Amino acid sequence: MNAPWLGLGTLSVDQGLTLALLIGVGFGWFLERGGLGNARKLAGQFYLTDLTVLKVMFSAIITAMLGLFWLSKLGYVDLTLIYLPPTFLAPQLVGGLVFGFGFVMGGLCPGTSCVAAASGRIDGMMLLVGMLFGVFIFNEIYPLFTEFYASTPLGQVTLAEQFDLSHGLLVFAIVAMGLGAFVMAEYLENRNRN
Amino acid sequence: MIHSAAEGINTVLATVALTLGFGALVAGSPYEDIPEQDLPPVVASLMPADDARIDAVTVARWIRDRKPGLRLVDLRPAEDFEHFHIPTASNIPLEELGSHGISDQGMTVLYGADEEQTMRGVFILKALGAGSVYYLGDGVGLWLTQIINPTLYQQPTFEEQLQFEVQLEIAAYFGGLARTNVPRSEGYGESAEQGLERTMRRGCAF
Amino acid sequence: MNFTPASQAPASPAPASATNARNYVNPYLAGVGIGLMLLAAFVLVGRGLGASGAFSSVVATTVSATAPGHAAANPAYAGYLGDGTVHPLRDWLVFEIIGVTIGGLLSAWLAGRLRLSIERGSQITDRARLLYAFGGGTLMGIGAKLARGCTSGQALTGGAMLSVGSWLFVAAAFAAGYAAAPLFKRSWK
Repeated sequence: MNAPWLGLGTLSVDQGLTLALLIGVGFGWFLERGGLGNARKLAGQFYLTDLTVLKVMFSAIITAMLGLFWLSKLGYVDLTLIYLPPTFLAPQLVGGLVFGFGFVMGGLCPGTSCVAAASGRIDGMMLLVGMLFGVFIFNEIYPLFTEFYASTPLGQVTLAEQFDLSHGLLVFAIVAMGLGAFVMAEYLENRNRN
Repeated sequence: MIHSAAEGINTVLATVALTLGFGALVAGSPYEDIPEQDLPPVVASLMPADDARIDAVTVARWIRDRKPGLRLVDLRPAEDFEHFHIPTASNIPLEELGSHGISDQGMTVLYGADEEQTMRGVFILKALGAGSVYYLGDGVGLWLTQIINPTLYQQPTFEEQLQFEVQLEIAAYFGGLARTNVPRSEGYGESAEQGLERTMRRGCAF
Repeated sequence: MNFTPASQAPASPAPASATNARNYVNPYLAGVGIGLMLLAAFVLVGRGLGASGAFSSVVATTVSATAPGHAAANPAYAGYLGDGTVHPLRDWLVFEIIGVTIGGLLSAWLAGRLRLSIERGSQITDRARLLYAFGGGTLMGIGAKLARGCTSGQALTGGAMLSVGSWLFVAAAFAAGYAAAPLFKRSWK
């Protein structure tokens, strides 16, 4: 087990922050290259005319998931030291719904709005301001629904554990699902563009 | 059929993904197989053995390592459980423990609101003849002080420093937030509730 | 909040054909690139990518600077402010999102896509588009806080980690997106 480097003390906090910057540059670069700095391209996802969002996101998930699986299987990464976002069913369901509504309304998500703003898109800058405002609103009213925010916790649980499936089976299923979705996406784009 | 360069790359990518994905299907779990440890037997009297009292760091490691057969039981009332509980715990309020019973398979770790509630739970389970019963001595508070908010006081002893570093390692996994250089006069300083709020930072850090 | 009126907007949307911008790359390759960045984050620092968390840090820092007592009393801020030993902006996600901005800027510049403009359909005014962007951003800010993450932190990071809540978030977000899509059709046509 040699990784994660920071958790195992190979990296200092300052080195971690430098890496954050570098990894961020790569993330932003690929988002822009893929066309995700363009609100119209993103919105196309919801009208099935441009499925770039699905293609980029799903291939990113598959890449990272496979990489993590195999690095861990080969004994390089200690998977238990990697932060797994905890599950809170009700707030994440409601949060997802509100987020999705805002997504199609604004046409960008938090990460891509930074890219859009950086490449001069005024709508991206406006969306950034809106997001800061939204976070502010949430924080101000947070004391009113602390209970809901912490409700229905499942802890740090993976789909494999939750449904008692083999981790490998799930990885394979997601890869298969992704490839199926890509074939579907190409078909839909061809049909809806012509 | 004409294949463009892009289609060629896509086919390669898809093939790699499918191969690695299929390999994963065969490989199974990426988590290392955790060898079953010899559990210290709890003496078959109502008094639990000395080593049945464990600290939060041990419990945290068991959860992290997905220890086979581990069952974590929260003895507090349902509303307290819903507000906060140790990840993976299930809720059997103390009043229901007697009638609920518990499987004698695997191992059970109990914790309540405080030492008294926890010990009551241990006695009930022992009376019911349960096998491997462990408990968090001071109840849920121990989890909050050791895992959620590991605290290092000013001018720590070597002992404390050591203990703190052990806690820090596991706390990172559970999203805990350490405090250092805390004046000794302050004691632990904040209530469990306050400590819990502080963990929000990790909880919604993304 | 000051909106730029359409008449004073520094630029209007330019049709793609009017620029010599390079085409976007194969989205699957861009996806693999992002996946490798995410993997690097996992391997090097043991956590994934994110975006909304950085905004939380910025908001908490701003509120704390203007109204320290108010921020300290609200656990939603206190969590991001820590115990005062570390500056709240000295944070993994804040640095990462600064990087994202730099990376986006570099890529757009080198591809000839760097220009002040508003991305919108032809059936909507600049002003309306910016209002929708602000409104959408506000909702996403609230939604991401409630869900403890956004498309980066939940969908990408949690998705690759196979977290239950992350996949639930993705399903809910896209369901709502598709359900609400007809309402905003004019923004993009």
